[in-house]
Amino acid sequence: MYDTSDFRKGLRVEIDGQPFIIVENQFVKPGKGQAFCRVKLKHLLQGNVIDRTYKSGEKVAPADIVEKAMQFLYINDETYHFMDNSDFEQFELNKDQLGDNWKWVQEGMVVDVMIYKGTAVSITVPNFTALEITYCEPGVKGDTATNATKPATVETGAIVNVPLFVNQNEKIKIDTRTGEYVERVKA
Amino acid sequence: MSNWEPGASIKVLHERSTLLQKIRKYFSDQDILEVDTPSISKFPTIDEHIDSIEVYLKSQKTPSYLISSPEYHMKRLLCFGMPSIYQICKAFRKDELGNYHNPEFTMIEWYQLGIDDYQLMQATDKLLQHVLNTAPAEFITYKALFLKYLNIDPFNLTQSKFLLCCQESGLTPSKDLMIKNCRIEDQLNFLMGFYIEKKIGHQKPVFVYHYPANQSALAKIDPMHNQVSQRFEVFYKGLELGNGYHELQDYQVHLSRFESTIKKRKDSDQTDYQIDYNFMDALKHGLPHCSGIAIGFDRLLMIKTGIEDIDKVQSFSSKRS
Repeated sequence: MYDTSDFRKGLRVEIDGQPFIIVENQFVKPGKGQAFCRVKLKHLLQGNVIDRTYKSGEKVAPADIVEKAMQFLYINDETYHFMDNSDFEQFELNKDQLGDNWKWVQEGMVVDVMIYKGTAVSITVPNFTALEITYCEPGVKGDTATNATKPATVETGAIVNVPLFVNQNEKIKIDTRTGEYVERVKA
Repeated sequence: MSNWEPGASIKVLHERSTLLQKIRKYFSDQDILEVDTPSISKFPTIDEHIDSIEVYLKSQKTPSYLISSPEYHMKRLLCFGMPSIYQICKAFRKDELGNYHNPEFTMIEWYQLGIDDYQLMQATDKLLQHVLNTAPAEFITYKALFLKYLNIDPFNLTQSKFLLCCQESGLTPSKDLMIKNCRIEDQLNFLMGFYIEKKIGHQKPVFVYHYPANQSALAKIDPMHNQVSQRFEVFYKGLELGNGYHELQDYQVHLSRFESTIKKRKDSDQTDYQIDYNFMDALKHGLPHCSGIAIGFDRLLMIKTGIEDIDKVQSFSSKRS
């Protein structure tokens, strides 16, 4: 069990049977009165934020959550399969659970899989990844100065806006946090 | 991560020094004597919601304590015959850590002989005007404050009124405050700390006086209204700056308050504390008529510099020490 003196940003706790992460923690002690911790908590699966106040010293259970590095294996019927390389245990997630991350996972990629009570619930992908463009309009030579972009489909099926000079079959680096094109990757 | 650098900038450390000098000069200009009492005491402060940090001198079985306030030692000096005194010292409190709290902080403790709480509020107002250039303060009773900001009477608060008040003010109370038979003073402190404190004193300091008798700590009970104590607090820019009393003198009343506090601590599974018999002996000898206040120096500096994190006004807060 944690008590309020363990509270800090990033601590994962279980409240009313649900997993939350502390996003803000404020210590409040009025005058000669008892001390409190006021915390903002984000639901680890649903993302909603709640506000709770704890009397100093109150106990809170840790959330039964672990994060493991796993390799992406394959997609089957919109189900994404991952494997823990240390013990070869496999986990699966559906496309909804991946959120926007479905756009970036490719064979062999190592991602962090969050496991809540033994079940995989979400993944975190590396901040940058390189993907090949499988389709886009032909490039405009020499047009490197303007900010104009065009849509390009990459190997995972995601669509990314790229500068006009970029061509089909080229590899591009993408910031997975924003989904934005960063640069061309030389073969 | 390396933490060798101070939390405060060089500019803030200069301001810290200037503010300390200014306060010392203010007191010395009024012939108030600076004293210097121990940081380590054989006995802890008896306060329901303050935990003292234990220290072990030699390998003795019973701990000594870092002082949570120099109050008992300074009052012993007054009992011994010292005139009005002040001290700027470190005070230590276990588990108090946040944007406005550090387990070790700098306190200004001041005792003025022969005056009551009203006169000490006036004197403190002058001190604040001098060191922070504040406008003359406002004065409001605890009861009027709750009526003004929450429309509730703190001396007549029911459970349903409390919960309704929380709901209307967008507050989520902790579980212990929602159960039946919970103590009204805990609910009032919650409302004070989470709601009222943030709203008061933005233009000028606000002195809140006549705290309920059950929150009197070591203040006298008002002889005219036995529901209220002669305790006050001062707030400025949403921060609690100081806590003052028309000091209790009676030996027996001290004893019964300490015993009741120790019982409350026991009932809530807190560390069992012994009464400081040196302090009790001094009281038996006699504490002169006086009023006293403790002011958080780091918070004065936070206000002076506009910095909202205590770590940024101390050289090395507990994050870095």
